[in-house]
Parts: sequence; C-alpha cells; structure tokens
Amino acid sequence: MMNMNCNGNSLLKRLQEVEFALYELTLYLDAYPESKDALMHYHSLLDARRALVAEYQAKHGPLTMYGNESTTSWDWASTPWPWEN
Amino acid sequence: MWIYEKKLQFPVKIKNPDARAASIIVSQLGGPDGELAASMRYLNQRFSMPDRKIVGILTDVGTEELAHLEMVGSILTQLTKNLPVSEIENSPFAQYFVDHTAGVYPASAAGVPADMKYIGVKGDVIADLNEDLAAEQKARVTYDNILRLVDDPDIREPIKFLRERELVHYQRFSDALRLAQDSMNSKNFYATNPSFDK
Repeated sequence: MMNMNCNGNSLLKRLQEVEFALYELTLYLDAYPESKDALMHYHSLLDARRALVAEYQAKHGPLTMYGNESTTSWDWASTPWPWEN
Repeated sequence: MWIYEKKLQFPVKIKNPDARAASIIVSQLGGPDGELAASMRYLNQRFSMPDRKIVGILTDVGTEELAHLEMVGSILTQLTKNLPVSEIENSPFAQYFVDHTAGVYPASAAGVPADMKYIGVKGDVIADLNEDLAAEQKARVTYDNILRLVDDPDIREPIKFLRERELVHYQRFSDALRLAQDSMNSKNFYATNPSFDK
C-alpha cells in the first residue's frame, strides 16, 4: 500500500475536482430538477468519478468502508487519514 | 468527507403517535448521553489519536452515531405526526410543543438544549477512550430507562437495536484502549500517556 498524503497527488486532486462539480450539480438539481443540461452534465461526471475512484482505490486504498478492494488485508484503518501531513 | 445515504440503519415504522414517549426519547437526540453528543465526541477526538486503527474505530463509530441521530429523529417525527391537541395539552410533550411544535430539536427530556459541555476532548488517548467507554455505558442506561417507560413494540424494536449498538461500541472502545496500552511501555502500570513528555 502506497503511503501518500493529500498534497501533490494529482489523482486525488482530479477526484476532488470531479466530486466538487458533482456536489455543485446536485445542489443545483435539488432546486432545478427539470434542468436537462445539468442532468446530462451530472451523468458525464458520474462516469468520470467511477473511473477515478477505481483507479484511486487500486493505488492508495479505500475511500470508504465499502472500498477495501484487497481480500487479504484490511487497509481501511491503516492507510493515512486525510489530516496527516 | 461525508456522503449521505438515503436510508435508515434500522427500520422505524411507528403506527401510533405517542406524545409522552416522544418527550422521553428526545433525550437520545440532544440529551447528555444522546447521539448528537456521541457523534461529536468521537469525530472530534479522532484528530489527536496517535494510532490509525483507533482513528478508524472513532471514525466508524462516530459515523454510525450520525445514523443513530437520524433514527431517533425518525422515531420522534413518527411519534408526533398528526397528534391532536387534546393528546398534547395534558402530556409532558406540551412544554416541548410550545417552543418547537412537532419539529425535531436536540434537547434533553428535561428541555435543556444540547450542549457541547456533554462531551470531552482531552487530546489524550487514555483519557479520551475512558470517556468513550463511560459514554457508551451511559447511553446504554438511557436506552434501558426508555425501555422501562415505553410498551409499544413499534417503538421498542428500534430502541432495542440502538441499545445493542451501545454494547458493541463499548466492546470496540475496549479493544481501542487495549491497542493503545499495548503500544505503551509495559512498565507503564498507571496507563498515563507520555507522548507529550518525551
């Protein structure tokens, strides 16, 4: 398991950007659920997020408690926590 | 960061509103040993924990407490939905009703709003984990007291689930304390945390 922190990791940065955009779209769609443009944008980012999550978890370990990809080791708690520097 | 899942951890389906039960159960939302205090205690203690495994336990228990907060809120809203005024005016719920109507507000059964004075964050692994062990037992006793005062099985089932979780959390915090003490010097009989004195 690679030991890394949040800074300087471009894969993490891309994931944060895509998820932030999805968050903004979600807030917008909560208020304007009839916006077809926003919904299309949401779906294109959802696909991007899925690929980024898979790549991130394979390289750096679980992002959520359901993301422990390894069947031989429990990495959820042993990989760095986000405030470690 | 967190993401919301649109479901309860355990089903809450209460058929009969009950103002008196709501006035008691609200304490597990915003009382001294309630789920709001529990989640804030564990999630804030995480930052000063010296061991990643202990951070994991605090993260996962603290996150589950947020789910319990939502379960208690669901119980309260179902207990107070469509309550006729005649059932409120002579119940202990009347004092809550006058300020909050049927809204879900974190306060104790005695009407004291939730307060961060209910939690401790000492920044010391031994002190904080001992606080957590006591907190789980106190929450378990509160659920026991609720079960002594409430008969409706629709209310009792989710309350019994929440009570069980306090016991499991107590076990996991015991494991966390053992992990912490195992990593200390074996001659540290008094289980003090020397990390600041190095």
